[in-house]
Amino acid sequence: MKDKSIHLSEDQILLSLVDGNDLSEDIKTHLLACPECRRKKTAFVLELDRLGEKAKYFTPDLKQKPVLRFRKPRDSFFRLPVFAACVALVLIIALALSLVLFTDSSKQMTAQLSTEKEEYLYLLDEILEEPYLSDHYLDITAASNSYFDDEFVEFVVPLEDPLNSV
Amino acid sequence: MTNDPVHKLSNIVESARSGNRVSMEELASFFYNKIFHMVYSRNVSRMDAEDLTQEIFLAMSKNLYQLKDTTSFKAWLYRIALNRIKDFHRKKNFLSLFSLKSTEDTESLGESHNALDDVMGKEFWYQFHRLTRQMSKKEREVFILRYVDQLGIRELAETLKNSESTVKTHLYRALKKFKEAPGLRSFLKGNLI
Repeated sequence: MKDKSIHLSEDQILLSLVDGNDLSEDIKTHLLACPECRRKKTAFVLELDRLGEKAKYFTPDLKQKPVLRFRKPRDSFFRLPVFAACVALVLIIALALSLVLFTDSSKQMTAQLSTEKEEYLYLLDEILEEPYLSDHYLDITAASNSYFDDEFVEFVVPLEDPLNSV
Repeated sequence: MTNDPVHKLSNIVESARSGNRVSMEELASFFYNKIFHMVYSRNVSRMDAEDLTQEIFLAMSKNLYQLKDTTSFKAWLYRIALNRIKDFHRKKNFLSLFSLKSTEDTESLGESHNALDDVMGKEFWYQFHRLTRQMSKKEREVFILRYVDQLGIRELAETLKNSESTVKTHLYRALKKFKEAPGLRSFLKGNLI
């Protein structure tokens, strides 16, 4: 913009209206020095100022007075939305209930375990104290068949007489 | 205590937020007319604009304690107003589908204006809305907030939650459309059509 006879375009004048600080140094200098461009810009600014004035002038008078709602600021806890507060309450109740239930069931489990433990200990004592194993264990090991004496076995499965077989 | 208006406003907001009734009324009396003008310039009838302004200030007084940065009160208040206006137009358009409510507004401007002013006013708003209808939503919002509601670029960006460069781009495009609006421009220059 060295040549002073070249004026700013309409777009450059509009840009200067939006924000004069965004213009390049050349344009700023030209705008300061050129009365023609300054006149164009001022005319546009006046038109826009008049727009604001007319809009205000042609707006009817306000008859009502504002009604305001006064409220004291409350602690941050009470600023929580109701929904969030309800959800938090439900969670707290659920947590408390689960804690109570869990404590009860763990007590029951402990009691059951201790009973089982006592039963096993009693059984173990029985086994250790008795010289012979109980019938149950003898059945498993087939040792309980000891009451079949030789005579009975011979009756069931007779031995061959060596004299007859000849 | 500084005389900076932003700082002064911030102090009043802080005081109102802590429950001071006088400060709350001071805030309302300072912004009530501005917000009413803002609502009315968005193609809202006078009665509806009064009701909407009332709603906006009720919302303001109800939710002020939620405002964290008191220096951004103006942008916050204008944002509430913009949202209420959007809701109002949405509702109005929906009702107009079923012809439950007339979309025409034939009321006069007010008692303080004479008949010529009424005619001039109607012509002004006709030309104004004709221009703004040619703009995109963003361009229209930026243009009206800047030149009718007299908000600065930074306040605009804060109100619309956009960057300053985005606001400037929309404003530039809106100004181009304003430049090409002979009706409104000749009205503003004083040459009635």
